[in-house]
Parts: sequence; structure tokens; C-alpha cells
Amino acid sequence: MKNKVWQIVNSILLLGVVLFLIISNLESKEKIVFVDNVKVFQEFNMTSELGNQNEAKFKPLIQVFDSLVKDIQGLEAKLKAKKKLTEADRLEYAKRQKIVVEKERELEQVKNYVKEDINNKVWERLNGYITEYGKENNISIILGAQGQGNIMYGKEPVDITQDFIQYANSKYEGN
Amino acid sequence: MFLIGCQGSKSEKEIEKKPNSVITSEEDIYTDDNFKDVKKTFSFEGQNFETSKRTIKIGEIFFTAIILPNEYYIRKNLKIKNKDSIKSYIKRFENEKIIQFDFQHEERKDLLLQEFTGVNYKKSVEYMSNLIHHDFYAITSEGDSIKSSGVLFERNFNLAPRKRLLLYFNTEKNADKLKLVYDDRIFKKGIIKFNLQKE
Repeated sequence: MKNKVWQIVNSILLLGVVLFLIISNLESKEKIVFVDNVKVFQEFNMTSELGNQNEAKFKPLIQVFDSLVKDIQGLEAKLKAKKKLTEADRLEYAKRQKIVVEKERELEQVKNYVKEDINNKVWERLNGYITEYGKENNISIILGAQGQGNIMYGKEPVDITQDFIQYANSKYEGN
Repeated sequence: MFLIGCQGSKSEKEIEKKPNSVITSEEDIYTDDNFKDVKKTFSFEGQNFETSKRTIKIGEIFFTAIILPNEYYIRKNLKIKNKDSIKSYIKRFENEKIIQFDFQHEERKDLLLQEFTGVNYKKSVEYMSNLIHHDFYAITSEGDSIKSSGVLFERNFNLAPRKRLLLYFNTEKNADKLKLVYDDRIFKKGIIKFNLQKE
């Protein structure tokens, strides 16, 4: 009888140890977190610095475009005041309109190129930091949520967005 | 200012051709395992010189900045051996900062190839030799921005896997901390910053 009791106690203890090992093993292996991609991109210092840098480059192009628009608006007002438009008036207006359209397209192309360039540079940097952050914190998977994507809600310890933004900005500032 | 060995000077050619300026030891090759080290020890003629370094990996490229210890630079690059001369040089150059800046591909590929720079090899070499200093500036702990006063592209003709620049800054004060800012236009990686500290 005494032996049986001991056997039961031993079995319970053994079961407890096995369960403890399984649970702790699961916890250490399954560290899955997520970041809000949009927020990370917006609050990363490099995004704003590259944006400011490119804004300065854009300025002359925008100024040229604005003056062309003003110019054509002035012509439009002048032509509207006329009772009868001549062929030369029509040709002049068409010529200036063509220039405005061309410049607008040019400006749009530059803007798109710069936007893509910033995106590529920023994401290349962030991807590197994400990998380093994951390794340093022993994280198995870092998911990227885009506000309207797969992850609609996550508990705070699982959402590492703010912590990662701080980490990425510190790294970017040369630390 | 001790821009000995700066662009186009006779000393530059001399330095370029010195075989001991090409380091091929494994510790100078950056890998995913060692690039986070923040200390670097230079050894020259039985003496060790410790300094801080920062390596940042972006995509497939390691970018490393190290403040060269002035005494090491004076002994190794300027070939000064006399103790008194070394002392006087150290005094003269106390406000100078020389930063060794390395670029290295993770698979040790030649980074000046068109696939990385987008322009032909000759143009890449020209850029590294003559224009790249515009892409660097430093910020002192007081917040002053200083432009690089010169740069030397140390060519090694592929004897080592990295491309090396020596950047010269006159800090006016003997600053212990310096933030190096590099706006990478040759590999198009954007702004890269390095917080460096003099040991």
C-alpha cells in the first residue's frame, strides 16, 4: 500500500516536471510579435530627413511650374476679356498649355522617383534593424501590420512598434 | 592641419604603394559575426593603439568608421620614428581627427563594379578619389558641423576586399566625441551616421 502511494506521488511529480519543461520550452520558442509598418515608417528619423533633403531639391522645379501656371492663368484672363479670339491667340494658348502639361508630367515623374527612392532606402535600413532587433531580443517572428491588414489587434507586449521605433532611431543616429 | 597623403600629393602615391598599408588579416574582414564590435586595436612595431569603431550593415554592404589614433597614424603613415618628433607631431595634430572609413561587400565582391555603383569602374574610382569628400561631414559634441578638410582614397588594387578612405577633420578643439554623417550617393543607401569616441 505504501509503495503504491509513493508510485502515485512520483508519477505526479514526474508529470509536473514534464509539463513545466514543455511549457517553458514553448514559451521560449514561440516569441511572436508585430510592428505597425506605417507608424514605423512615419516615425523613423530617416524618413523625415530624406523628405526634407528632397524637398530642397524639388523647390526650383516647383517654382518653375508655379510661374508657368500663373503665366497661363494671366493669359486666360486676358483672352476672356477679348471679344473675339484670333488664330494667333489660340495657338499661343495651346503652346503654353502644352508646356504646362509637360512640366506637370515632369514634376510628377520626379516626385514619384523620389518617393520610390525614399521608400527603398528607408525599408532597406529598417529591414536590417528589424533583423538585428529580432536577434538581440530572441524573437522568432516579427510580423508587419499595415493598419488594415492581417493583424487587427494585439496585446501590448506583442505590439513592439514603439519599442522598435526607439531602437531604429537610436541605431540610425549612429549608436 | 596634417593633410599629408591627401589627394594628388606625392605622399598619397607613396602611401598607396606601400604594401603595409594593405591589411589582409581576417580580423579586418567584416562578417555578420564580428561587425558589431565597437573596439579596435591597431598594432604597429610592437605597440598597440586602441580606438572605437562602428560598423553598420546596410543591404549587402558593411560601412565602418574608426577614429585613427594620431600616434599610430604618425608612426605608420608618416613614418616618423624619432620619439621627440613623434611628441611634437602629436602636439601639433591634437585637434585633427583622421577617420578610416571602409566599405566592404558581405561576399567580398569588388564594390566599385557597375552593378553596385550604377556607373563604370573608372567613374567610380574618380568619384571615390575626387568627389566623395562632399558626402561627409562631422558634428562635434558642441553641435558644430565641420566639413572634411580632405580625403585620401587608399587604393589596394583588390589585395584586400574593402575600399578604404582616410577622412581628415579639423575640429578646432580636441574633441573626444564626434558624429560622422555620410550621405551615401555612390551606393545609394542614404544618410548613415556613426557616433565615434576617442579612447
